[in-house]
Amino acid sequence: MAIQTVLIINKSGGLVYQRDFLASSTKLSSNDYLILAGTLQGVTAIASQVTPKALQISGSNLSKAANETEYSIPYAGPLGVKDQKEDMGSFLPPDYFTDSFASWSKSGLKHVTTDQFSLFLYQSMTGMKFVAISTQSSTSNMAVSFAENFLRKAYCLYADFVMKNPFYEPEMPIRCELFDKKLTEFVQHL
Amino acid sequence: MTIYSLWIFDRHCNCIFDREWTLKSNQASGTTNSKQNEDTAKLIYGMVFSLRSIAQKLSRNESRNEIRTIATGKYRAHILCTATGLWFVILSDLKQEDLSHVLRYIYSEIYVNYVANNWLGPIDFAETEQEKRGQGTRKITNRNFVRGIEQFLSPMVTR
Amino acid sequence: MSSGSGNVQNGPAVSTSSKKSLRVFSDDIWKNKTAKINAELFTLTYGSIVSQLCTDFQRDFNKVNDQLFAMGYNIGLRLIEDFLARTALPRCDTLVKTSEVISKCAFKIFLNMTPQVSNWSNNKDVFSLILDENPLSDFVELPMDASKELWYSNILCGVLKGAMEMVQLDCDVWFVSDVLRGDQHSEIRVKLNRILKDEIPAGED
Repeated sequence: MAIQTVLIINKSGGLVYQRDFLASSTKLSSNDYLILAGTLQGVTAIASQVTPKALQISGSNLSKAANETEYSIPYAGPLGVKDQKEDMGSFLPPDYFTDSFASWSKSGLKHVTTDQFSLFLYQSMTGMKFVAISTQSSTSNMAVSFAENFLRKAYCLYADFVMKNPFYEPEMPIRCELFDKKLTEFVQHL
Repeated sequence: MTIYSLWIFDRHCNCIFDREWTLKSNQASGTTNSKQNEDTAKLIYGMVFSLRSIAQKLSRNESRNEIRTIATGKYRAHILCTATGLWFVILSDLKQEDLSHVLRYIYSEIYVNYVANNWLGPIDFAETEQEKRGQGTRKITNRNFVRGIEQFLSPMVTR
Repeated sequence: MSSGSGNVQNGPAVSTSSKKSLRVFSDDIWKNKTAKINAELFTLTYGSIVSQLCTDFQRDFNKVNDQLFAMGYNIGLRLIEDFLARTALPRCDTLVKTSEVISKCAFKIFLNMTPQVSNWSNNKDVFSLILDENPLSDFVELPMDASKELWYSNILCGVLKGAMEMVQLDCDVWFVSDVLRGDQHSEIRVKLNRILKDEIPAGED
């Protein structure tokens, strides 16, 4: 599974970051990407609205514990963090994330597959959305947890190299060379 | 419960069939062609439509790039878009990773047999200009079709 | 290492699994997964900022308090992302759980301390964080003229305010007592005003 594109969308649906990692990636105009970001924002909201009635009914009966375990996302290996030297910023190596973690957003859009690619979406509690487009169409739950681990790491890089950059203005387009560099390294080592 | 609902849309953006199961224990539970589901149908249509246009834009070559599944943390939607502009959508739990064969069967063995090959029933459910612009409310009520769907999908509801 | 951050997450049902307690979970992150700097350098840096502010504002300590709060607020807006990325904790459903995450997790990870949560109001919308220790004010004695007005560690309030706001909790945060002023203990008061509904990100439950 190769990552073709990474997008970051802020909480109001604006595209703040977009980067292609493969030469063969489709070239869209920046305007198209902006529309894409807005569309994803809308779809994320709709997706939670159409949750089947059966789930709404059983959800209220089921014990909470059963629900919790279902959404725990398994650890998917070191993912691009190769050795002790690998730099994940303030997140200490060798691999910061050696446990499964719970995905707090349960009803929003997570994963879309088409004939040609898969699109994964990880939402932070502050409303930032991290999107990865991979070159393979995979519907397996394994791929989803893999992608979610990957995007969570991308979120960590964001927390370090974007949010802690004192000259970055929140909600604005991300122009941070260090972040670019780290993310590229990270994706290439996958 | 593995399957939650089935939706069929025609090329005029109308929902022409919907079946939603609400209880895991009861295959006969839920609604068929319910008026209350109109809004949900519109939302599902909108969601698929938006993601479909994204897929098309991101397509690497000229060939069509159709959308297959959409997943949230709670359910997964499986989608089959036919060349004639029909959409078949099934909502299932997350354990169902790929139901494309099920959708294909519904299309080729149930829809084609009982709706398309039924000379006395309509093939286009929109009759007026207005209905062709997404205002249609007509549904597939054909008894054979409904029975075919029930027979085929019900076992998966409680499985 | 930087100042404390708060936010809204689920108490006991922690990311890794509900088996691990919040305390163990936070301990692990602090011990094994967080880069650390020299505490003296940290304390001195903060001290020099406060004293410089006092000079710049001609010893108008209310202004200094406001300025520290504003600085903290801006830190909180950013630091919350670090916290969420680090812990991946789910959302808290009550303020009680939020308070536990703040004391046991956020303060632990960023300042290696665990303030006690106490003094709950009857309807559970106001609580206090009692700081037993405070690395910001390790070597500090307040000058006479400041001892009635300056909240030396006011930056912490700002950080909490900013971080909570980013996870849709509109709060007021303020110091009610400080050992530097001769009080029994240092106490930060947190009051939840409302949950910012319209800002809840799309796709949320």
